[in-house]
Amino acid sequence: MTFRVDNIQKKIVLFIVLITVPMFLISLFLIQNYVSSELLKSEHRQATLINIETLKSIENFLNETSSFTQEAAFMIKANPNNYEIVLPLLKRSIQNDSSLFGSALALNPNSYLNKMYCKYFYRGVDSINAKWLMPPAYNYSESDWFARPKVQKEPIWSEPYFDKGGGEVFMSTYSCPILDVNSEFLGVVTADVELNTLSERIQNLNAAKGGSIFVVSKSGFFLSHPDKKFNLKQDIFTYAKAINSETLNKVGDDIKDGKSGVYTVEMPDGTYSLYTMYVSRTSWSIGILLKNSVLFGSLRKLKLYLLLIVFVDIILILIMVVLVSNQLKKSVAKEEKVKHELELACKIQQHFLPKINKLNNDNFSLSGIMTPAKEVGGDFYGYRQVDNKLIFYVGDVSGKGVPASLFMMAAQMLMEDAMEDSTNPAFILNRVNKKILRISTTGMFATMIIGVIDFKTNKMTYAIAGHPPFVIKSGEGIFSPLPVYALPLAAFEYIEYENYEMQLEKGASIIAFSDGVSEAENKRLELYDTERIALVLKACSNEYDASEIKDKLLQDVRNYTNGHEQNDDLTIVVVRI
Amino acid sequence: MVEIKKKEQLIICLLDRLDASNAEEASSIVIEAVKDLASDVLIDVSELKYISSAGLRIVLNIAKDVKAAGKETLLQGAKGEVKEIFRISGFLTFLKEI
Repeated sequence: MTFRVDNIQKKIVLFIVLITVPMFLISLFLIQNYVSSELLKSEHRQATLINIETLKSIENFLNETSSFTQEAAFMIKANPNNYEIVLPLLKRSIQNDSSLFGSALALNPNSYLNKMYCKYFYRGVDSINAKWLMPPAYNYSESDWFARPKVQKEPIWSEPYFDKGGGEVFMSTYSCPILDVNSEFLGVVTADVELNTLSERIQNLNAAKGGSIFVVSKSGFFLSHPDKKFNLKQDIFTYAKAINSETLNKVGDDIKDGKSGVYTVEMPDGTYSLYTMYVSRTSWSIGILLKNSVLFGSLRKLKLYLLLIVFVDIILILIMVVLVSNQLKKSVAKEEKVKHELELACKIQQHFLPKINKLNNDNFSLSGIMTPAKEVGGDFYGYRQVDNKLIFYVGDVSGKGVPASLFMMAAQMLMEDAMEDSTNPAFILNRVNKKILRISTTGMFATMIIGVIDFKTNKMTYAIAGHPPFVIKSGEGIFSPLPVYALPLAAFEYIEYENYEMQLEKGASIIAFSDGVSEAENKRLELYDTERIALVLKACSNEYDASEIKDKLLQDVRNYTNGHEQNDDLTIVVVRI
Repeated sequence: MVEIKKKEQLIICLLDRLDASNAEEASSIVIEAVKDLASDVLIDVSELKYISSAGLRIVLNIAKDVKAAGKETLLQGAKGEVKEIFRISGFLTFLKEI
């Protein structure tokens, strides 16, 4: 039994684990998918925001530093011939803006102004210097900063360059074309903007945001990078080569083509997501590099918490299973104990019945059996030989089970006690009835049939207390004498039982039985009936002794019930003289 | 199993089968019914198909309670096997058949 409970315990534990773990894994998978997609979305939003902010910062910076050129271009447009009027504005702008390194006014020699003119102001040690940039020393009209705006009639930013021998800084030149009212190209006003300030400004902007920002020119040159090693020193291709990243190389190519994109880049210190944005005005690109481990850190934390919760959950369930099954074990043990006690009670009860259930001697043979419907029963029988008389009886206590068996034991002891003093059936019944009523308050009663055969005369004296009568075969006749109906023992105190007598022929068979025989039921709930007992007796050979007759009857009852549950105790006593 | 009706008499109808399997339940119903008895009791067994000794015990208890209350217990509708059981058990000696 203990083994079985242990087995169940193991089964439950196994089932719980089998069910919980896959469920947990599935939910973990779903959560991971959902959360990481949400995280990526939010990262994308964040990157876009940073990009836009950076873009704004760049535009503001460029507007601040280059707006004077447009002012100058406008002034010349208003009065082309008086172009030198802008020179103080140029000079003043350099003075006022530390990011502005220099500014030039260059005229288109092919316009109607018909003049070769290029004056350049630049920041000196403590003043603003001016110089001419004229052919043959410097053929300005063929330089990029002049030629491109001339063709495009749009302001342009030059590729960043290192101003060697000048400011010793990285610069980008803004060239604003001067167009007259007819959109004829009159020349350009330039602004040489040093990029260190912008680069720093971008990095400062980003310092609080996490991740790193870089800005690269169209050629992939780092205009701004958090690492001083790269900032304004290297281009993205060199960097890609240094960290051996094909993806980054491709990013560089895309930037060259002016494409924006999202990339996953493997860096020496982990995986990053890279968001790039092309800034069409300057042909630069902004890149935001976000470390995935930072992004997915919260997801990992969440997974860890979930794992912990499920683990604790399983542990708690297992503890409960163990507790409950231990209780189950206890109650099973209790049940076992009760069952054991019932078996013991059955044994004790059987001890109250005659130890020898079969007798064969010169005068008579006797055989008795009591089969309880439950472990313990309410039927009983007994016999006693006194001189040349045989007293035998069958009793049946109402109900069955433990209460009936206890009552039965009391009744049987009273019977045995009374038989010691008398061989008079009615006297015995009267005495037992009165005594048992003193102890019985539960309304239980016992039916009883008792017979006394005197072998000198073969006369049987008998008395009945609410019990089915004998079935007797004497000579050729089979009969069932019930001279009077009397109440069971323990029903009412006022009852006086009476004796009846009958003469038996030698060789007569007497069957005493309890209603468990006559009321044995088959599957259709039909009763066996006393008549069938008589038929069995009739069919019995005259050679049969009591034991054989009893076996025959028992077999017939069993055949009749044919496996239908025995619902009452069954007792048979056969006497053959 | 058992059904209680109250008319001039308290009518206790025993139904179908009354044996050890349902006697306890029937007993508790009946005990409640015959408490503070003010009339005779009629036990109707016309719908009863089988009664075992456990069932007879209930009838005996009813009869005892009724007698203690100074009233009478009547039996109605006994026939066939049921009547035989009542007769053999001697119960017809104290139940007045009508």
